Amino acid sequence: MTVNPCRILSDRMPEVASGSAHWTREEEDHLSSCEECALEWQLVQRAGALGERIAAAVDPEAMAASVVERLQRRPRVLPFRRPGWWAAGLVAAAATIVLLLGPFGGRDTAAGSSAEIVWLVPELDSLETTELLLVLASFDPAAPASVMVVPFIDDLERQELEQVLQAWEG
Amino acid sequence: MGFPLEFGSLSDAELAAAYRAGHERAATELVTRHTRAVVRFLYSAGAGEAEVDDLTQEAFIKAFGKLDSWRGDAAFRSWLLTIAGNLLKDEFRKRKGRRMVALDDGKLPDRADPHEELAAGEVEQQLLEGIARLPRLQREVFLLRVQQGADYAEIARVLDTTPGAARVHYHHAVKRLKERLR
Repeated sequence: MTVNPCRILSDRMPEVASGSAHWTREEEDHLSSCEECALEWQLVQRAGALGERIAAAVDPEAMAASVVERLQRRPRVLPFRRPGWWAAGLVAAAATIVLLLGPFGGRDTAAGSSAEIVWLVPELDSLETTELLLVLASFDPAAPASVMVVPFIDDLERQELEQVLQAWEG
Repeated sequence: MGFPLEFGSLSDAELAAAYRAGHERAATELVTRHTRAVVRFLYSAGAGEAEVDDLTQEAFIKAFGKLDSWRGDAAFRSWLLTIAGNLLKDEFRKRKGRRMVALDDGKLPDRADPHEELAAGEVEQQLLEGIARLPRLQREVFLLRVQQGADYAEIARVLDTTPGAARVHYHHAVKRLKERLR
C-alpha cells in the first residue's frame, strides 16, 4: 500500500510550522513540486501566525490582575458545598446524631422510656403508649445498644402494622 | 499540599490544584501564561479587536468557575480555548450570526515593501473571513491544530468528539480555506 505523500505532509504541517518538527529533504522536494501542498503550507503558516500582533499588544499581567480582582469579588462555590447540599447534609447529620446519641442512645427501650420516643419520631407522635410498645417490640433485640434502629411506619412488617392498626381501632 | 513560592515553575495541573487550595497567585500565573493564546484564538476565530479583551477575561472567569470540570486529561490551554470558543459562539448568537472581522487598522508590522505589506494584510483578511465562515467545529479544530499544535486525540478530548472526526473536520476546514486563498 502506497502512502499519499500529500497526506503525510498535511499531517505534519502544524508541527513543522510551530518549529517542533522539521521537513526532511524528500518532503521539501515534494513541497516545491506540489502546488496543493505548497498552498496548504502557506495556509498553515499564515493561520498559525494570525492574531500575533493583537496578542503582542495585550499585557498578560494586567489581564491577570483584572481576572483575579473579579475572582476575589465573587464567592467561590465548590461542588457539594452548594446551599442545598449543606442544608441536606446538616439535617442528615443532625438526625443521625439524635438517633445515635439522643434519648435512645444507651437507654433502656422498655416501656418506662417509651414516652421520650414520641417527640423524636414524628410519625409516632399520635400513637398511644400501647401502640408505641408494639412498635418497640418490633426492634431488633440483637442490634447493639449504641446503634438503635428506629423503624418508620413504612418499615414495619405486615403483621406489626396490623397490630398497630388493631390497637388504634381498639 | 505545600506549594513553592515560585508559581512560575509549576505545571498547569499543579497551578490549578494550588488555586483550588486557595492560592490566588496560582490564578495570576495561569492567566499570565495563557492570555496571549486566548487572544490569538479569539481574534482568529472572528472576535473583533475591540471585544477580544473582554472575551478573554470572561473566558478565564468562566474557566476558574468550573475548574473542577477540567479533568486534566487534556491540556489546560486546549480546554480553556474551548471555553473561549463557547463564549464567542454566544457572542455570535447575540449579534445574530454577524461576525466581526476587523478591517485593516493600519497597524500591520512595518515591511520594507508597501506592496508586500498590503498583500499580507489582504491575505490575513481573506483568512480571517474564511475562518469565521467555517462551521464551529471545523473552525475550532483547525485553530487548535495550527495555532496550538494540538494533536487529534487532544482535540477530540476537549471538543468531545473522536480523533477520526477531528481529522475530518480539520481536512474539511483546510480544503475550504485553500479555496479562498487561490
